Amino acid sequence: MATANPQVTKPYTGMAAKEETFWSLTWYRFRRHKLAMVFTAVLLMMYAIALIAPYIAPHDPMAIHVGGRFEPMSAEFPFGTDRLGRDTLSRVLHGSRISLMVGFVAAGLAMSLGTLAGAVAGYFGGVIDEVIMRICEVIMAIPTFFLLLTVVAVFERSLLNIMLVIGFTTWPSAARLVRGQFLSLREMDYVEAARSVGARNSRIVMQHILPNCMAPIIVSTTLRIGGAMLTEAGLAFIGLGVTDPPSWGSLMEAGRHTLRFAPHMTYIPGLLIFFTVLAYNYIGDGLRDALDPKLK
Amino acid sequence: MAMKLDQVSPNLLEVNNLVKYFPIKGSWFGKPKHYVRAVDGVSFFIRRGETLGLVGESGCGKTTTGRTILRLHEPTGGQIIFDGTDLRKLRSEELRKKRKDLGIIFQDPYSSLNPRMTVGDIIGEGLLVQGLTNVRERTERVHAMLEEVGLAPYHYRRFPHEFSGGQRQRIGIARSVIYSPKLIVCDEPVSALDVSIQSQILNLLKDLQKKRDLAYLFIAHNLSVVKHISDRVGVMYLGKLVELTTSKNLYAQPTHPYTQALLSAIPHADPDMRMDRQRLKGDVPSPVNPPSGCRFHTRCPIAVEQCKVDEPVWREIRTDHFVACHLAK
Repeated sequence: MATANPQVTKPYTGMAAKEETFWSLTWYRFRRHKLAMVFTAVLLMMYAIALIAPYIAPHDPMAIHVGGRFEPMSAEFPFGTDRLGRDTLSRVLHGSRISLMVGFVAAGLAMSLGTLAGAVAGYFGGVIDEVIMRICEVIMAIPTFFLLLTVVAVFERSLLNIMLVIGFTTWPSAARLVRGQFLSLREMDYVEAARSVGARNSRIVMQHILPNCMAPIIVSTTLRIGGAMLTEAGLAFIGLGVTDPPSWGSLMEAGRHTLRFAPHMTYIPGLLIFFTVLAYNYIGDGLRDALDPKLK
Repeated sequence: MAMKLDQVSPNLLEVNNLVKYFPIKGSWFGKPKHYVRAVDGVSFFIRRGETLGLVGESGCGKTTTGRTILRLHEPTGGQIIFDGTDLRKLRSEELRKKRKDLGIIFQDPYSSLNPRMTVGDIIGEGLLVQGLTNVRERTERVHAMLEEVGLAPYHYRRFPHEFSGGQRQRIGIARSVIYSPKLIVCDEPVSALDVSIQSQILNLLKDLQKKRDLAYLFIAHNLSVVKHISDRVGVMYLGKLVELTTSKNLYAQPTHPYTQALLSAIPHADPDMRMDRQRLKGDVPSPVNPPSGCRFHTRCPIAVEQCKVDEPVWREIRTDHFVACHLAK
């Protein structure tokens, strides 16, 4: 028998003193993407602030300060006040919770549904695949924004409805992505190997295929969060967003009537939306580079 | 292990008239119009503990044969009698359980190991899915197996990308051997390796076979490798076996004209040696539209009229020497 390795008491491990796992390598590569790192920090801060918004907001976002309408930036009102004399900073802080949540929940819903459908379609193929993909095509034909308008007009104008509609209309593209990954990965030798030793379908999917297509799923989720936020902001800007408390899009809508003499009411939430979506795009970019196996 | 003598058939595997067609998809929802006849009526058997080599040029159906036997591809027709049961008749759960007696080693040591799993998990997977859920016991067996294939216990927590091709192939071998199957399909296990590593891996396979009484179906296109490891060798051409006999016989007195041409193509180390090389004309015909009669007649140097019409019968011309040729005696 070949004894290539005699008893080694202290194995030479070289540079990799710590275990070199896939995720540690990804993190190593991600750190080198400066913009993505900066925006990750920005975004984490935003979420942290959103989480503790009620405790750090200087005023009640609904409290009206009589005689203090359209105040410019001052020490008491750092971001000024709106047409009812309400503190813009407090309103923006409370609104961040909604805007950030919409993206996260809607994209998460779309990715979960899409991954499930795409995995089933791609793994089993055949008739199941055909049926699921045809359903996807039907749903993809529905324009998200107009369905949103309808739902908001007919049913309650609630945050939940908005998130659900965005999630349900965008999952098919996620399903296509995951299906494609499954179609190619299920032909890999290591998947055949798992079958050959007697692994069940569930194990093959969870242990062998899904972990190997996490990279595009994560990247796509990140980019989708930004997209979902923009959709919600667009809906709010034409006056159909949630207003109690208002999301960033609703704040912009409230400000646009007085854009000429109180522009801060519009550009502050506008810039926040801009930077959040930008952050998600850069993070998605950085993740794509970091997760790309071709660099390895 | 004690020898089981009574009532055990000497043949571990009997393959009768195995057929595997791959449909070429036509239009939408339409029935496929054409089929790739990758394996078209192949019959052979493997005795317990022996190595049957399977050679042939690229695309002749060797790999498909190996995978179809394990039902990694669903067979189109034929019988696969393994250890007394027809694998084709098993339901999926029964087949899954039966897999503890079957194994496969792949050609490409890179795509055959899941990059997200540690070596320990890869090797131990067979034991786990076959019901050995005790972590400590499994770890011990994986450690023992690592040593048996020439790796070290500290490799347990490493990931596949940290290994060389030869080491990866050892991991692939360990994965199949650990649960002591009776038959392992070796799908060109050394073709992707350096020549210097090839012999190590071949010797490892031989050692494991001796120790564990394994039978191998050894698929390869390197005739010297096959000669080295096989007890008997089958030669495939365009989805059919053309000749099957003992290693010694095949290399000493090849009977089928294709085998003769194949053997005369082996390069020799001595440049002064005079060689009488038989060159085959033309290309291998398409397996979608194989030639009538004997599939080899389009390139056969000795073909007669009969070969274009009648398909030669698979017959035993001597003990342990099967051939499919009208002119073989």
